[in-house]
Amino acid sequence: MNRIKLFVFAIAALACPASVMAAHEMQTDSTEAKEEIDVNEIIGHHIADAHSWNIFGYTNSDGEKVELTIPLPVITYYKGDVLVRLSSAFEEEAVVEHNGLYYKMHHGKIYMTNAAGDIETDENGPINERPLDISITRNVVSMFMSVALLLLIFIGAARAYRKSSVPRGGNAMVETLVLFVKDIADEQIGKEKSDKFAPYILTLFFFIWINNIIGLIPFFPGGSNLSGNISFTGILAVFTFLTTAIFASKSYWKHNLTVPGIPFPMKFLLVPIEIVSMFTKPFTLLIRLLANVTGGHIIILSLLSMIFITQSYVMTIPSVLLSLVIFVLELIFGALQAYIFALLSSLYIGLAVKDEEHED
Amino acid sequence: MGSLISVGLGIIVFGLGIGIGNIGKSALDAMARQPEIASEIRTALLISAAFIEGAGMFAIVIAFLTAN
Amino acid sequence: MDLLSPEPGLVIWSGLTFIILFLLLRKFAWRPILDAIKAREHKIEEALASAQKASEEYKRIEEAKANMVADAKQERDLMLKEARAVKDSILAEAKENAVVEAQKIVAAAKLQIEKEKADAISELKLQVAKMSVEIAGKLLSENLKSDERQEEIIEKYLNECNFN
Repeated sequence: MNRIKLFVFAIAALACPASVMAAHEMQTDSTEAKEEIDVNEIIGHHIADAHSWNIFGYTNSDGEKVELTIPLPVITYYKGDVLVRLSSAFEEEAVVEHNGLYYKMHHGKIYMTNAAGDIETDENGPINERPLDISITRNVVSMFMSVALLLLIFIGAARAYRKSSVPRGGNAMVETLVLFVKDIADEQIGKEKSDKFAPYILTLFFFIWINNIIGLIPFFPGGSNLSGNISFTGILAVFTFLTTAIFASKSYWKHNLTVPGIPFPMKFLLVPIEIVSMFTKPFTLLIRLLANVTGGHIIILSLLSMIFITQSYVMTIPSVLLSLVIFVLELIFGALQAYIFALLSSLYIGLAVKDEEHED
Repeated sequence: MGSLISVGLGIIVFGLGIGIGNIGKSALDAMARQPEIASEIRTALLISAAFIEGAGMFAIVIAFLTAN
Repeated sequence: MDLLSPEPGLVIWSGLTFIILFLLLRKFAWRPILDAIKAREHKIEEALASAQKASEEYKRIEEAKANMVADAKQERDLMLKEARAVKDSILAEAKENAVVEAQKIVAAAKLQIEKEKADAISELKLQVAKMSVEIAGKLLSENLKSDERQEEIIEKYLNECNFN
């Protein structure tokens, strides 16, 4: 119980500076949305990945719109041709030529085009071929940052144990959090097997949590929507699925593939259900995280956008206050979603590795 | 079409709300009755809420996919 | 819809990053932290066990001490009782002795008195005899004179001879 209290306290401590940041986000947004009030596009732009990192934009004394943007490397692979460029080369729909191939960025995506840079479209959007895009995008940079932070925090905490077995200060909080997550693994997987899977659950929890927090920081090093991106949540869900599949016990497979203890005709119905549920479990994991994080971002931005939709100063107060409330809520949800992801992952792993031979 | 999707989403969230609300109610009842196993109840609550939410998310995603 | 279509680039980067992060953290963070916590728990358990042992030992010693004190007390009581008995017996004996001695002394004194008395009586007898003889002698000498005179004399001597 005390561990949970400390956990809540840690979140509350994080929420205080975050409220200042929420106000900041409103400012940065206001410059972005001065002319257009297409809220959908602003929000869509925010929650999607990008090849460059827009820090802020403003209108200078000449009335020109100036955008301060960090270009990020674009790396693509297309039929043996590897292209490495800074994203600034693709600015304003420029066509980039490399080894006789033409690349063009259109709405944040790289397409293969002809020399003129024509993009053909049908009702579903562009139909041009796309190279394999392994660029260091905004999300990837943000992910690297989170990795650096995690390594810094946890390896530092691990080093502290060499001096004394009782950590002090921040390291004591790290220990509390680590034990909190370790307890999830212990409870769901079982004490004798959890040692093997605890590092995975711990990595999962802290990786998701820190990316949720980074995603909520509204200014430069944060603000990416990595943990609300299907690629990110998807690969984590795949890892959980692979872990359950690789380490599953015989009784788990037997239970899932033959469903013992029920009449034979029913098996035609239940075996497919069991097999499908093996895939839906990780699928719900990925959708839940994606939907919660993206939903949170959308709600905060929508509330702030109320100011620009109504074009009234009066709206500022309720919309900022409301988004602040949601912001704090999202900070809690960020931890909660990481917790649920870790909890359900360990639950699924626990179900898979349990080798009890009871047939019912 | 768009408004139909919105109605569908509304129905999904309605169902989700009832489901998770029921879990929360039962969990609170159980915690009040047996505070000593509150942490176990909380875990069970989160797991079942997550399952229901997962099903709801599934429906929401399908709704979005059919919208486009 | 963009939101629901995975980007292969980000999938590759996420997967790679996660695996590397997992391996690094497992080697340099989770294992050391969890091992340290486990070692500490072990240490605490041991310390608790030894403390338990020590307290049991202390209790045992305390008990032994209490037993010893009780024994000593009993012994002291016994000794005191014995001493009292000895004192009483000595006193009683002394009293008895004293009584016996006193009786002896009294008896001796009585004997002495008897003896003295006997001596005195025999002396007296001797004196009386002597006197009688003297008187008789005188009587005899007087007798020779007259009867009246003789009776007179006897009367006179008898009056003289007063046995107080």
